[in-house]
Amino acid sequence: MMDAGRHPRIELLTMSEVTDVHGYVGNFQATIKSRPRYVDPAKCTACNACTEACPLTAVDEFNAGLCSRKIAYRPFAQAVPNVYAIDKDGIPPCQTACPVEQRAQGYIALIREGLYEDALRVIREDNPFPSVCGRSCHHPCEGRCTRRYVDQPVSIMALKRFVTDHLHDLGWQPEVEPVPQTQEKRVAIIGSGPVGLTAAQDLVRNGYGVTVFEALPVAGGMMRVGIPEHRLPKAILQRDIDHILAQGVDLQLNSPISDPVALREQGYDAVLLATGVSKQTRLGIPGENLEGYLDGVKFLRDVSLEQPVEIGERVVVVGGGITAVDCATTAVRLGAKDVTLLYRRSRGELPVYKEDLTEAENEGVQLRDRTVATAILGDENGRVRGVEAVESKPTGRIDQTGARDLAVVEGTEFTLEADTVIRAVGQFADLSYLAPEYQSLAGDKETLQVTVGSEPALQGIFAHSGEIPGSGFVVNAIALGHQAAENIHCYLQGESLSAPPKTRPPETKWTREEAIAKARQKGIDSKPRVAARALPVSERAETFRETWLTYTEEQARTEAGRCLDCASCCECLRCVWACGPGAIDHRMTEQVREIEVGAVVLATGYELYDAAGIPQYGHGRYPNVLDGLEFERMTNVSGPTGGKILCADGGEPRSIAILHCIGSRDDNHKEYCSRLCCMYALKLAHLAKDFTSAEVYEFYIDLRAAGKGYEEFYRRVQEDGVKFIRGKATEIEPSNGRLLVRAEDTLIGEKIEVPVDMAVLITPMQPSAGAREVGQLVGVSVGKDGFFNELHPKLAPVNTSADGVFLAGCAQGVKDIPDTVAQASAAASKVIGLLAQGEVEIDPVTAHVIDERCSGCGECVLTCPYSAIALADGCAEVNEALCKGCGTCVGACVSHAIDVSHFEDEQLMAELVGMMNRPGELVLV
Amino acid sequence: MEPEIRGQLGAAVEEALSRLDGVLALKQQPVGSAPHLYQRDEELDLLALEPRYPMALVLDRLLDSFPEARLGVVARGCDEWALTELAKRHQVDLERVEIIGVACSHEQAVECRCAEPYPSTISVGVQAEGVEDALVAEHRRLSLEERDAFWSRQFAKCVKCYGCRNICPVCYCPACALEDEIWVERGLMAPPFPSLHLVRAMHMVGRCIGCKECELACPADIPLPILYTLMRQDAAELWGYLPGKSVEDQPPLLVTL
Amino acid sequence: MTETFQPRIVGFLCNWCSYAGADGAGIARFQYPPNVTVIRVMCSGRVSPEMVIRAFREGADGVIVLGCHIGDCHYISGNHRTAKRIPMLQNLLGYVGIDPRRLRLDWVSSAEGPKLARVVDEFVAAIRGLGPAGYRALAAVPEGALQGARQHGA
Repeated sequence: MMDAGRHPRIELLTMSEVTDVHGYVGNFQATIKSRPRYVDPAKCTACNACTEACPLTAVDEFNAGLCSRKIAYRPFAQAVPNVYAIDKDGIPPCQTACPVEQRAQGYIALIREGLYEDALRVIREDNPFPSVCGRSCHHPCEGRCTRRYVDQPVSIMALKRFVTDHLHDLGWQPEVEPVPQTQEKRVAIIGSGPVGLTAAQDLVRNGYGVTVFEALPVAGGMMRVGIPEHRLPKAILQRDIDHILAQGVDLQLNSPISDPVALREQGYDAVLLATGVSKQTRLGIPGENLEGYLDGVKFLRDVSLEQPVEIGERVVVVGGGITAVDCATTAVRLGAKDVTLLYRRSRGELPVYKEDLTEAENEGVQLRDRTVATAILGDENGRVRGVEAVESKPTGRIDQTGARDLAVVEGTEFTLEADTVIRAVGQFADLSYLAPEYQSLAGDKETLQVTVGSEPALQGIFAHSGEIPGSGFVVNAIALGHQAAENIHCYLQGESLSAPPKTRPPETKWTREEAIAKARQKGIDSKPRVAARALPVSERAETFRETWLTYTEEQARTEAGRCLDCASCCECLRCVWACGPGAIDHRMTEQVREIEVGAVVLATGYELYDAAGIPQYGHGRYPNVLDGLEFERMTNVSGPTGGKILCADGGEPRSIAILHCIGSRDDNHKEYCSRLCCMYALKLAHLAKDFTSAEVYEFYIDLRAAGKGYEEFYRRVQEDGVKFIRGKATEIEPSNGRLLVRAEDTLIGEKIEVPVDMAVLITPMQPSAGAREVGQLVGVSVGKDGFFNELHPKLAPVNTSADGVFLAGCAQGVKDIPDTVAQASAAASKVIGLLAQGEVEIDPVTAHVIDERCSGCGECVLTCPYSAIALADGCAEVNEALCKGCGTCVGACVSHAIDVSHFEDEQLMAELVGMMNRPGELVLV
Repeated sequence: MEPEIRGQLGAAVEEALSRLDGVLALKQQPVGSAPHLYQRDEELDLLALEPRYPMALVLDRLLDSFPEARLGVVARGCDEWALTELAKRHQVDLERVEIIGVACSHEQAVECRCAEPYPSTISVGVQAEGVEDALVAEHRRLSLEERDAFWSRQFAKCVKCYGCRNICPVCYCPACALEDEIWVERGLMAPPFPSLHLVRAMHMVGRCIGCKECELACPADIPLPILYTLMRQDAAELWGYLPGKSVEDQPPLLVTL
Repeated sequence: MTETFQPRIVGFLCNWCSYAGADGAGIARFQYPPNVTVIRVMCSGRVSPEMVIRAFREGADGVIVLGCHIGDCHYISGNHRTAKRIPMLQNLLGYVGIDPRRLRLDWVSSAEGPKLARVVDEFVAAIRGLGPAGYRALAAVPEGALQGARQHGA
């Protein structure tokens, strides 16, 4: 194997399958699909670091499922090629659902293992604001979580928050080194919100000099002044900002910018406008100029910046998003006694999380849904005194924006008294800080490059396009920041900004049924997510302490344990960090290529017949009933027991039964004799005697030791003291903690029962699953038992009916190693003989067309099993290299315009007539 | 022909002629009528729909004679199915053919023992009820001995004129197995074993569209369509194959199970 | 015993399965009646309806077509065509009043020598039960009419 792997003229294609073969002997084209191994074989040094780093395990197929292995692994020590691989079933849906492709399954796995620092590290790879997104994220990941099919999605957001809080509580300080500036170019970013700071971090990591200009005295943008303290404490936000700044981002506070072009002239090579959505829509109803009528965004900003804010005791908030709820709960904390939220649609349509709304109501906020404000009422001093409103109902139509159309219910008008009215009904980009000539400035949707009206692009200036659906969500803003940084990087490097999207593995997709079945298989019970705790309501009023509390460590690890690991590899990136030569690439994809070959050898091997399919022997039910392979792995020092033969309870067996012909020579399973099992069973008995002091029994029908040196080995095993019982064991039953093997001893003609501690079932070899399909690719059929048909059982045992296709090993029939090697050598020499000739001889039995009889109807084309016939100029034409001479076309052609040499109609009928017209009596053959 | 039908037919042919190089339809002759290739600006007064004529056969030849032409054809249901079978076997190019579908009357269906007396698209006439072939149903009820007696009598009448083959719209081979001595006895009228009729019946499996032209053409009045229809029914039941329905349907005897 | 009707049967056997099966039956010394005249074809799909019809015309009392089991065809799927064609011909024989049991289709693999012997045994017995087909009727046929056939045989 090593020699083949190292040979310069042998290319070993592992993790690959042949999906199509066409052509003919000497000229085949094979299409090969290679699955990605996520490890570059050219770089991997097989140092095992990835395996040590990997937090996940899977069943170890090499050790017959007796133990587990890591997801980043090498199947066994002598594997060829000596390269590691990673088991990945695509990208988990939590990751694809996330705008920043946060590796949620990765950090969840690390939390489960208690590797919190690494968990935070993998979060920060894609998201510079883990503390924020652990609190204020619309978490689309949870909506797609596979676990939702079993009970409830994993509480992904709460887990992210746990990591940040827990490490902080432990006093852990990440070591952040400033990234040295390796690029000459500098970038200016206007705005220190999530877009600006994300882009700043990315660009600094790419080696650019970055300066962020912020108009306010504090950094963080809407995260800082739009989300109230009780939902996102400023100190916690500052932790994330400090982490970004520590990498070398220069932040200039109190620095409003009105002319981006001037910044370019000051020496910045690129400018990013990252000022976000801070301007609110007006309601467009009477009374919006009254005193006591507040803009929600400004209200929250003033509270955050500790500016004086005056509100009355009766507050009405008009609107229904997160900002509206934040305004209402902030008003409660500022001392308002009576806070009402007016929302024009139904409660169920309110775009906030249920828990947040419930907590707001617990704090005293009253929701009036299906209510539309029609006017703000004022008193004689121009102050707000109330809101005029009316109830609404859906019309059943859909409006232009895709939302449900509403109509007012006549006669339901009412007035709500209020001292303060706050509007919070939608935000959009605010460019009023820029000089007048830049008011219509907008970036391209894809490249973010800026144009002003019909002016040509302003070189080096980037901005978002103004209207981005959902840009109010922090995580979308972070994604936009990444996109901006990527585009600016491309621009500064002089590369195309409209590069094709990067390839990546497909998303992991489980159906509900699969999810439930996998959960059951893994022994996962249905249990709901761990609920987050909230601060008691009594402690909330007039304070801005955080409403929601973080998970305890125990809660977090329990919740992380609910993850189904649906993509196998979780992309925690520990292997990437551990890999010295940088061989790991989690973005590899399936590769398809076509190669030209002159000959094909089918060597698809065998698999063991599953003993669990023969229930009377209890494999899979009784722990000490093993199949031959499982037992053999135990005798291997690198096996699951380190080379000890042990019962499930850890003790050494006192007696072992080896049962021959389980599933072979049996009409109900495999009719054939699996041929080499007798010798294999003898070897196992010999090993058992060698490794243990157990009594060993062999139950056999008859012992077939035909082969060089085999009889001698049989005798030696007899001399070892192994007891041979002639008679097939019929069943195994547990009895007093042991196993009772029942059989008929045909030598003494009695039924016997032998109690043993361990039983080994010798099951037959059978063709590998999928062998039949592989055969179909090259036109080789399989026989009754599923093994490939050789051309002739005696005279052409390595050839097949398909020219240029040869057989080797157990694909053709059960055989032992010497026979396999012999046949493989034979196949190789057949191939050499074929290819060395440079030309091929074909069988003279081929079809030919009698042109003047052919109507060109194409029926022969349709009926040929080898696609050897084609129509040309209204006449059939046989490709003799493809034709195998079966004559199916001749049997089908109504005009007898095709015939097959040496089996022509004339010849066969002459034979028939000759035989039928024999004079006299029938002659005995 | 009823005036309404005549109007529909004339309009359809005239409209088709405005786009095509010609339209194949029947034309009244001093006695009876015959197929005629109508060309633009030609008088359409003598357009006819009777008697039955294997239009597919004629069209196949016309298309060969005018390899560039696009032609229309006034076709009954059976003519359309025959064209489908011919197209399936690369004998006609349906890209060059436009079918003006004619629905047969119930009376015509009874005369032809036709279960589906209309094409897939009807341009002329009204869809009428078809009838089951009572002769076929009756034949299924006969015992083996009765069938033997019946067909021995029928085959004994055969004068080997090949009329059944010559008129058949789905027979197109340049060389015919029925004329090969290796398959069919030569020099024998009514041989002991009916090779000719058995070979022909097997060739009709997956092909015969049930137009019954062979029965009309037979000077000995041998009801060959009974055999062909029995086989067609079997193929429909076994493999769901109905000749003439779609060019995409593959003849069942040629493909895998 | 000399009066026992000895049917004349034509067998079309595929080279890879049934012909090899017949070989196997011989090697294993299985006895079966000698009434079958075997014609070897590469694949049972090679057997056209015309060939079967010709066999009857030449005086066969029965025709048996044997091929590989479905799925085991040496030519992938040649026998699929046989599996459709021969039953259709059996139907046709029945419709014209010829006992369809005179034509039999079966699958015999190269390993099924015993099955081959059994199938042939059964078929010969069945044809014996049906009696002579009687299509040959040589006496009734003018001498010249056989000229062609004889030429083919030459």
